[in-house]
Amino acid sequence: MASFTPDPVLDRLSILDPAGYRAVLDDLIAVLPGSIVGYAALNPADIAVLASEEDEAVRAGIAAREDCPPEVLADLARDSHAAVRQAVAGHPQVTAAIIQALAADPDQWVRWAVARRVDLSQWGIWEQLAQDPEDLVSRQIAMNPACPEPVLMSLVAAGDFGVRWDMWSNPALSDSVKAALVLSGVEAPENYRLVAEWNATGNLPTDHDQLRTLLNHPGLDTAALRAILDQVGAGPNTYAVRSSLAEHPSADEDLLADLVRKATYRWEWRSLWKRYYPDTWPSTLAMASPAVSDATRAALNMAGHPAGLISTDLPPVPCFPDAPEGLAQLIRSELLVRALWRELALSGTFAIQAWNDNLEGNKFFLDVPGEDAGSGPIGYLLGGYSEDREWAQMTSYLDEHDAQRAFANLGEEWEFEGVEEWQLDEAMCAFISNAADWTDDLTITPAGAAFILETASEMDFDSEDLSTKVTIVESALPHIGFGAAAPAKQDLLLDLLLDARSQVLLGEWGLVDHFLTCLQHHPSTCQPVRARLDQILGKPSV
Amino acid sequence: MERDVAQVCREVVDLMGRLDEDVLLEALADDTELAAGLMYARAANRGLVELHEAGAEKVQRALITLAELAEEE
Repeated sequence: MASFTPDPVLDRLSILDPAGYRAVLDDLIAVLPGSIVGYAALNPADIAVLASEEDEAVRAGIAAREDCPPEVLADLARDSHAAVRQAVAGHPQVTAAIIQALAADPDQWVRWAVARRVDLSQWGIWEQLAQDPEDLVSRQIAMNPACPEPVLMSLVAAGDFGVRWDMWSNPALSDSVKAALVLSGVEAPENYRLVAEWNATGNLPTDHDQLRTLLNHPGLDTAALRAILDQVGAGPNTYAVRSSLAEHPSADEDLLADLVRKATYRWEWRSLWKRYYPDTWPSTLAMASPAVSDATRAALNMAGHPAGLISTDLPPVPCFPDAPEGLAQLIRSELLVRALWRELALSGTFAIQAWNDNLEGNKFFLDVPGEDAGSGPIGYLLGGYSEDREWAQMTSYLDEHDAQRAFANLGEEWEFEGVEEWQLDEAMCAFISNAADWTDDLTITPAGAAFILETASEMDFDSEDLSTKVTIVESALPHIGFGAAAPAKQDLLLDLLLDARSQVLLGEWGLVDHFLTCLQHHPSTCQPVRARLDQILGKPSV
Repeated sequence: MERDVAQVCREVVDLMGRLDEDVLLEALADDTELAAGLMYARAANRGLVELHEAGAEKVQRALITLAELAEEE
């Protein structure tokens, strides 16, 4: 069952201005139904409206709500989309008739969702699901901790290897079922043995892969997680273990803070960011959408949404949520990046760089001198990976440098396929580009560079070999900005950033300092704010 | 480019053009050093590169190998 999406700003608005709150909900239900479907405080009428929404993801979201009324659930159980029926199949309040119908659903993922329930005994459908023609379903039954022993024994006897293997993941196996599994020739998998050994001896394996396997087990306690971190330390080759530690439900605040300090790789940045800041609030999605009304944005600003501080058409209101949460919302929605990077690039203060990287993921970052944004968490969390940034147009092109680099790579293992003029030209470009890079055999002349570029432009190179030009274009949210904000708002934004600086992830990874630097260099930062920044950061050298 | 190196490059390109295509292809595919020398000569002949001493030596060696191939043919 999905948990509700929090939204402290909407909650506060409901108290400050009930009528305005109602209008905001109506606006979101009408224009951004997907944003609001997980919000706790929807009333039955809202739920009924969203349950008939055209988008099946919204209907599935309604079916996953704990408070979905029985009559709505019954309707959704007959939905034409399997994803919606699957969500109903996992709902705790479904009737026997619905469960029995869904247990015979034509879609295996719906039956799989039924097989995950631990309350199936009351309906007597264990055997039916255990004999399901799709092993996706019978494997789920084998892992179900409530599955009766006779059903498990029948699955062992049926002999499907995958089912028996997965059965070891069942946390409630009796000794007789375990013995039957071993007798049937399926020994416990490595993670099971690792957990059993750790339980018996308290000793952790020394091998990093085994540690990571062990970490898949939810039964590890905080002390064990701490011991694992102490063992792997901050080495560059153990990021996968630290990333798993960050995702473990038993990781406490101290451990997470240590992991933040030790994080060196994007797996860790991703896991820790999701751990600290998993949700984008409905109100944040509203502030980042061009579809919502100005009245909705004004109401959310009045309730203290942090995006109000970078909405140049709204009056200054202090941020209501605690500062780290507020800043995280501005990061998750890319609103602060949109406000600052866009204006800094347009003013020529800093350039936005983008490049294609097949291994690490495409990069998009503000090129601030002294920052390692291209390879660090700032670039990864603030810029990387998003392709749907409508305010920045990216164009791939090939320049002389790209062409020589691409040919130099090809020259490593050039295979001659013919000796026609064009084939020899391509081979020549590959050999001389490679030689220019790696030997002292020759220098490419300007005419050579032009010829290589001309030849390369006829070839189909990987996007990674091309350069990317970033052009700032009109924003769909023209009111989002910093330079035109009143001095009082700039001051409030600075307060928000400084208050967020003490949160370990936002502080340690340099995210807050990055934004402070942006403010300090912004040509339209007001004098009092600039003076405060100069005092905190020191006067900029350029 | 010194005159003698330029001359060598011209001779290499000239010989390449006269060699049987299959023989040339086999030679290029089998001998990376020869292929490099031939490609350098071809590029230098068109003013696309300036050869340094090491590059010029590779072209010189390629000319010898190429001449042997032409003779065998």
